[in-house]
Amino acid sequence: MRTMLKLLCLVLLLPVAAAAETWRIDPSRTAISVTVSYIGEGRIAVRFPSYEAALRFDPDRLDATQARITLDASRAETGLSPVDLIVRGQDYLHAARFPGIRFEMDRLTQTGPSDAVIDGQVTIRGVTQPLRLDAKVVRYRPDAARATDREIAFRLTGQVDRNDFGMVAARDTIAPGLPVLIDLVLVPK
Amino acid sequence: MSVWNTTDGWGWLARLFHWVMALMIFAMIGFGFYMSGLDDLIAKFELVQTHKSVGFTVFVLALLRIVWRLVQRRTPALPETMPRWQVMASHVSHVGLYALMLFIPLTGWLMSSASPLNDEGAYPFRVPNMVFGLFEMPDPFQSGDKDLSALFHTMHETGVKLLIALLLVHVAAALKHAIVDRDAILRRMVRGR
Repeated sequence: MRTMLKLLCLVLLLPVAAAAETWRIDPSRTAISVTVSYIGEGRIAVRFPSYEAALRFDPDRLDATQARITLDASRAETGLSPVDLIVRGQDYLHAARFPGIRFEMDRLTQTGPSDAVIDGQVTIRGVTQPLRLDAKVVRYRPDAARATDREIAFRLTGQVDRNDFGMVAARDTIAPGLPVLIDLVLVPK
Repeated sequence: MSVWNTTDGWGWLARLFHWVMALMIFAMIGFGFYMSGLDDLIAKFELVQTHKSVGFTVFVLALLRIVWRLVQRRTPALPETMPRWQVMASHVSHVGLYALMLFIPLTGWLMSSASPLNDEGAYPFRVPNMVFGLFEMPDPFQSGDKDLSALFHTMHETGVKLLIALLLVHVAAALKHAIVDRDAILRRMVRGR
């Protein structure tokens, strides 16, 4: 379903020029997090409530689509302030020196009727590495009768390896893989 | 409604201790199993802190209850028709319940105190054994030992399993007295006599 993919792209990546409708991220319902696994103990979700996004999309040139999002590392939160300080501290995000975590999209590739993969580059602590995110449409109401009901929601998943970004503390207790989860809700501008 | 026990019934203070502690102990057992199974470490952390505080309260109440029991040596008599082995079983199980009411909070506190996370300068951060955020429990292990903490953890869990077994016997016996024997054993713990 190429149409579905185009619509996905249309709403994921705000059109630069003419388009039927432009969309914005609904910050109240969008959630960005990574999961830290303490081996044999459990998990801690690190959320990023503050971010800036710039999206660019040409429906006729999918290979030219672009997206960039910068997360505010100094606002990373877990729900427990002592842990927040550790996550933001120099062993991990080092937010004082590297305040932004940036993701720049390179391309979007359809993989199913409502699935796609997004390839890009993520920069954490000044180190840039490739990152692939799987995108799935979870809610699709772009044409709802009432404007307030119009929305499209995606779930983006992927994983980064903390060692790739110099976050090497507590190797024996914290797993290297950090699953990324983005629940993205877009509404018309 | 007297505070003092008589040979016919329990005073209101003994009954208050019994039912308040029963509620707390059942809640703590469920709470303990629930939080142990949690994968979300932040939620678990918050619950463990509450568990410690309530555990401290149970310990203090158990001490007060035992003091009251020693002060008030008079207790309602057991039915004369009760077989000797049941009388013995009753005494043993009650001693066991009192012992576990102290043993379980104590091993919980020792487990947390022995954990290296309780040490000054602990990584990633120190976890003090606070009671409802009001004060910190004493720390007999200035330098934590993970293995020792694990040993106390095993003792704590074993104590809970024993307590569950004794509580099942205790509740079953109380129901048997009320439904089968139709004597005053349960009634006098509910209504006093």
